[in-house]
Amino acid sequence: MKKGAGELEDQILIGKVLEGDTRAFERLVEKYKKRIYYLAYRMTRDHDSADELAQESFVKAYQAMSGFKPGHSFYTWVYRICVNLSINFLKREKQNVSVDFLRDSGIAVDRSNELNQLERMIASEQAAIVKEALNTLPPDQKAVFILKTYDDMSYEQMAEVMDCSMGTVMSRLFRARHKLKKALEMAESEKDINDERM
Amino acid sequence: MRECRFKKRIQIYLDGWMDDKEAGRFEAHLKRCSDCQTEMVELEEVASAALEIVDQAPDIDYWKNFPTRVLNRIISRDVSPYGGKQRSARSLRLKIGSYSVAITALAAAALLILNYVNRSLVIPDTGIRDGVEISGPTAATDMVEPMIFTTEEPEKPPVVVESESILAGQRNVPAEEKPLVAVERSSFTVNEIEEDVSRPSQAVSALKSDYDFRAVFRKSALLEQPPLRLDDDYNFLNRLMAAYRGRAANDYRISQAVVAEGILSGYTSGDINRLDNGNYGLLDIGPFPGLTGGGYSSGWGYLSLPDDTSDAEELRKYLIELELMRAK
Repeated sequence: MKKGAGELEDQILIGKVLEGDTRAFERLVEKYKKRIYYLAYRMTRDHDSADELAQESFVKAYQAMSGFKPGHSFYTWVYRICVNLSINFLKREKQNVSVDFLRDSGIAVDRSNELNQLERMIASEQAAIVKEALNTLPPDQKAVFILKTYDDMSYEQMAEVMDCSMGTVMSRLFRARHKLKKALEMAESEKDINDERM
Repeated sequence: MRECRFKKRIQIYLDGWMDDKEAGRFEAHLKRCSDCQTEMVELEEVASAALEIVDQAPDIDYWKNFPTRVLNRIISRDVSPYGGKQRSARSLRLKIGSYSVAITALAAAALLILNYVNRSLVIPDTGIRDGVEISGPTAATDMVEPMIFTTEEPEKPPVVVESESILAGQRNVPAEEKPLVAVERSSFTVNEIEEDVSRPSQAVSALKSDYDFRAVFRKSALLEQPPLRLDDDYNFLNRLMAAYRGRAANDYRISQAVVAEGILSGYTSGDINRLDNGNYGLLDIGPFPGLTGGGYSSGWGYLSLPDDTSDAEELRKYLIELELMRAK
């Protein structure tokens, strides 16, 4: 997210939005809709939730536009809003202890196994394992992992988006990666045991 | 078998955060360390597996309509970019009109007062103010600075605090037993704090609001009370560090000071290790003879106390040095 022509254009559009030009805001939405949607989607793995979170991120950005600091990145700012909304969403979901959550966390063993088999038919084995393990990560760790892996953000950018220190970013990333690594290792050893039995 | 100490640095290497010199050293190590090689391969496997996850793409129509749906939501909720509800053009004009009247009245009153005050200072038509010739406009009304309207509260006057009073409350290191070095020179200013900061979350919030951490510590009596129970206040110190570190634009010296304060106030390094990370080695704690439970150093390199900080007394000196640096 280096500053360049894109960011300059954003600043101009923001100025127009503040003057009441909704078309300018539409252009900003157009520009970042996919990135924001996919961020929400990767956090939730659910289209409807991602759609709701992505739209809400832009509405909130619009509502708080007058507080946007000139010279800052609009992209980072909307990302931050979306990450926060997604984290809150996941926390609420966790509190509800939905069937989906139980399934994702591996507590609902029977259905989980069925789904695993389906997933493994579609995606590669490792991808399916990591995908499932990602859902069991705490929202903060999940967000940092997604920002790093899919958006290739630097520690500094992630710290800005997550509104925390770089040290916290590094520690969350470390934990996330190691939990995912553990998940892969466990799956590998389970497979070995099954192979031996057969 | 003891884990390779470079293992925790692999992430930094993979993320391109190592400088060339350190990266060179790490690569040389990597060639002969099978432990690190395995770790590296496994972490790369995680990244590539994550990238292989197939995201279900929505329909093309979904993207076409997306901006319109966002705008519809904005319209239906009647919100404005200024936070509140969107106002109709008429009510906005009326509002602006009433503001204009009020500002004009205020400006006229201000000009009258300034004119009255400046009458003794400005000699009309001579360009001489307080006896000094000026080259700009001469009429008192032209001298008026533009008025700035702000909703911000005026800055509170700083309170001078002696560092002794800050450190005197430490549980383990009473000031009278261990006189402070350079205490006479180490007065510093902190902003007075009015909020209730008795709870950790309030203290963190206050730290984020631009308060000096020592003022917060003082007010929250963190240094005077027994350490917080780890179960209740998981990650408390880390949150303090993070809050302060973020606020101070990654000025790690301050984080170090917070950690040092923590150690001096009765946390053992083991406590800090647990507080900070739960279960992995964010902080490497080595033997530290001056303190119960060991010392403090960094596994990541972004938080470290000087090598010669080998006991509590050294930590105290270190804190004072920090205060002196900040006071300059």
